[in-house]
Amino acid sequence: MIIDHPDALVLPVFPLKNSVAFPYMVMPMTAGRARSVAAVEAALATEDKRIAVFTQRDASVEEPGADDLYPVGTLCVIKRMQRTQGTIHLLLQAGRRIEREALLKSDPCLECRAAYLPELNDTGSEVEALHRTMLDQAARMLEIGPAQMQIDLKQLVADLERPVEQAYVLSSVISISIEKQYRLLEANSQLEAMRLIVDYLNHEIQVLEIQHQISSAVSTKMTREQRDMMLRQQLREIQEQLGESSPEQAEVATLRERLAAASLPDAVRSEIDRELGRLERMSANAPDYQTSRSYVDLVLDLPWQQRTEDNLDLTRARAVLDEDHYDLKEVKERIVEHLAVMKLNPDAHAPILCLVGPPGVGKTSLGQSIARALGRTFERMSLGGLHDEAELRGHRRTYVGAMPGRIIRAIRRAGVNNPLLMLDEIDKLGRDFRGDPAAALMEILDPSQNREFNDNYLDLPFDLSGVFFVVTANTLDTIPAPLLDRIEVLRLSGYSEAEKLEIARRFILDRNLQNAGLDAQQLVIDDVTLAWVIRNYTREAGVRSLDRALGRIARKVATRIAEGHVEPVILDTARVNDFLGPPRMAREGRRESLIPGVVAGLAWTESGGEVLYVEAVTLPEGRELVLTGQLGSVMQESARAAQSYIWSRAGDFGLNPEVLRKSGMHIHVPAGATPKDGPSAGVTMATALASAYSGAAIHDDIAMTGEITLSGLVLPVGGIKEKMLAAHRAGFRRVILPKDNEADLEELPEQVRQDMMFIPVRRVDEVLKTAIIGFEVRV
Amino acid sequence: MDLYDRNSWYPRADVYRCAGGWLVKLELAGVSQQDLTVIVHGNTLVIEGRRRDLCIPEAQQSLSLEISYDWFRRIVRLPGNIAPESLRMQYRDGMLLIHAAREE
Repeated sequence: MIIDHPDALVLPVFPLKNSVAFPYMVMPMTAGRARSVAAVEAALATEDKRIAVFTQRDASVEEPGADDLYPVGTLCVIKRMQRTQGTIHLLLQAGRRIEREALLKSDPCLECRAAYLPELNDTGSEVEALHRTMLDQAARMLEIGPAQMQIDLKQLVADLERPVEQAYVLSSVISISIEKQYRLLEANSQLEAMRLIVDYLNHEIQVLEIQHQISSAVSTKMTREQRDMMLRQQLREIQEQLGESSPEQAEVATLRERLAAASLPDAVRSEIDRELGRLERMSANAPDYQTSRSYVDLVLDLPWQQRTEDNLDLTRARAVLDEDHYDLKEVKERIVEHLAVMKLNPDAHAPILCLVGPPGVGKTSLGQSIARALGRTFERMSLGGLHDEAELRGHRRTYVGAMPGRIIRAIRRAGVNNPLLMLDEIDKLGRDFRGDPAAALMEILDPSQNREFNDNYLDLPFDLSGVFFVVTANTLDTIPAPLLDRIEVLRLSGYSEAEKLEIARRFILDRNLQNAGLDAQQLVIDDVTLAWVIRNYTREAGVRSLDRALGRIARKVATRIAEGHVEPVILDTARVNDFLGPPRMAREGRRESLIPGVVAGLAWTESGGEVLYVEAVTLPEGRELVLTGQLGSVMQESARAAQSYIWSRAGDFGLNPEVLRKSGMHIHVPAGATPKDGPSAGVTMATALASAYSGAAIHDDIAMTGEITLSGLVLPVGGIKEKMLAAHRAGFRRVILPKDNEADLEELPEQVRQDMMFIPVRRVDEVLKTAIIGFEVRV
Repeated sequence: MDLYDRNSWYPRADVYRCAGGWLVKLELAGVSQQDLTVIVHGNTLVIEGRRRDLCIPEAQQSLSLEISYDWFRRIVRLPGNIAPESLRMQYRDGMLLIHAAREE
């Protein structure tokens, strides 16, 4: 050593927060505290600008004393100094390590006596080994560490020769606590320093490696979506910081509130609780989020326990039903019966009624009226054309766009679990490869099964047993038997002319006047005119065409009034033409003075009853039976049976055997384009044949229906009411019908029964004797 | 040899080749000659010294500081061995000029 240092130094003390001044490093520093500033001033006032730097044990102490500073520090020289208001910016060049021996004073700055600590020059194989380990570790850190660390670390380490200096640099680069850094500064041999730094680096590398694994795993999986999600997550955090809750959290919170408020069965509640838990962990842009959310929405919306109280006042129910609908006694009676049962046994199953009848007779509105009478919520859905089972039962939630079935949706709309649910057009259910909706309906309509109805989407059993089902159909023929078996059928047959008149008077006319904005004085229609309209402009079992015709009249009157013709319209039959055009129904009415071979038969169709004339003529040659007019096989067979019967009794009927032998027979049923079938034209065919063979005509006021047997019996047929109404409409006064159908006449309106004469028969002979003019049977 | 301390700063140096030797020029303004030591060791020149702040007696407070003080050490390696006895030093305009001859 050429220049001697005195071993005892007296120096101002600079207390250092949050870092350690390692020897030979250059450090920027700021002095702000009064004592630090004073220490710097003291150092600047010396020739060599020296200052002793000691690290504070606790960074939060503002005015550190001797006990607050670590005993080992660094001798530093101020290389640069710059003042800005109140603070001094320094560049310190750290030199040798010193140990504080005593604090000499503490005002205006701390001053101490210190002694140099020895330089760390020890070597040895262990130091060498640890040194190499340290360099390896440093290299490893360069590989996996953050980018900014890689730039300078290599350079820094390479510039230094002594292992301990490298250790000092490394320790300042890695993030270790002040205490650990100080322990490195305190080390009194290279060996000790190496041990410490290797230990520190080891720990650091482990941390870095884990970080590296995480970040590389993340970065490989980072797709665009995840990036978006991350951004969203950050957004959410920002919102949280700002005290705003994220929209989906708010949403889940609202759902939770609703869950708490809803009255649910326990099983449902726990299911929804679980679903909400899932929802909370999902981000709003996850594909499942919306699905899950709308599911929860549905479940919370469903009326698990809400129900309406039935109004069991029988008198009121009767009044309501009568108010809405004319006649329909049977149906009304059934509703009242049900109410009576409900009164005595509140647990009774709600009935499942099926209203069958032609279009326009008021099935749907009857449903509404039943709901009103009972005080239940009315919901209606049409099953017409439905051919997918999933429409009724829903899709499993795993499918995209899955929805609950119509039943559950209707219940949701109703908001109570005991509405009156009307299933319209059940006879028009389709059926294809997607399943059979009728089969699904069986579960829904079976009171013993629908207590736990399972919708695929809902996936929780829902109790439908409180629902009052009313199904409607135009015909029972297309309803599967097992389904039909579960429901109670109520028939609504067509209305007679008198009934239609009554209905028009009570309901239809007023409604149409109201729709057109007219009052009762502005359009006056008397009963004769109304009947004229019914007879000549409509031909239906129900009242829809009548409704339309009256609507048209009302609108035309409204147009006239709007155009300035203020005088009220008093409609008579002559003026109907002006409003509705010429009579539309050039319909098959009653023909007068029939020629031999022509007989009026009665047929039943979905739109009510109809009069069908059967025409038979003998053909000059041949013996075959020609049948035309789109007759079905049953009808053709019944024609053959009729022919055989006539032939077998030819002698008794006084028919000329020569005629039978020589002539063929042609039977035609007009309205040739309409398909017809069924056995009920048997008597008509037989009468037509007998009349044609005998050349005697038939009374033109007689219509007939009935199935025949080869031995000449007349068997009962269906649709008597509709047929009788059709005959009445057409103007027939006498109707021949099977004796066994006599009971059905009870259903006819009083008016019709009084107008007509019914001739119940057991045998074909009686028919022929009654119908054919001058016909005699020899017995 | 203690290479590791006393270099709180170090002066910049230019090295020239001259007839029969080298000229080393160091930026050493403000360093008194008695605070300066030059050692020759084979091909190496070691210039050590100490710059003291000479204005301290007049100064009341230091407002800005950019010049480095206290100990410095500068090692300059030359392309050939130096003849120790040939060393000639000259202090001119704040620069220290060291003339060294190549060892024969």
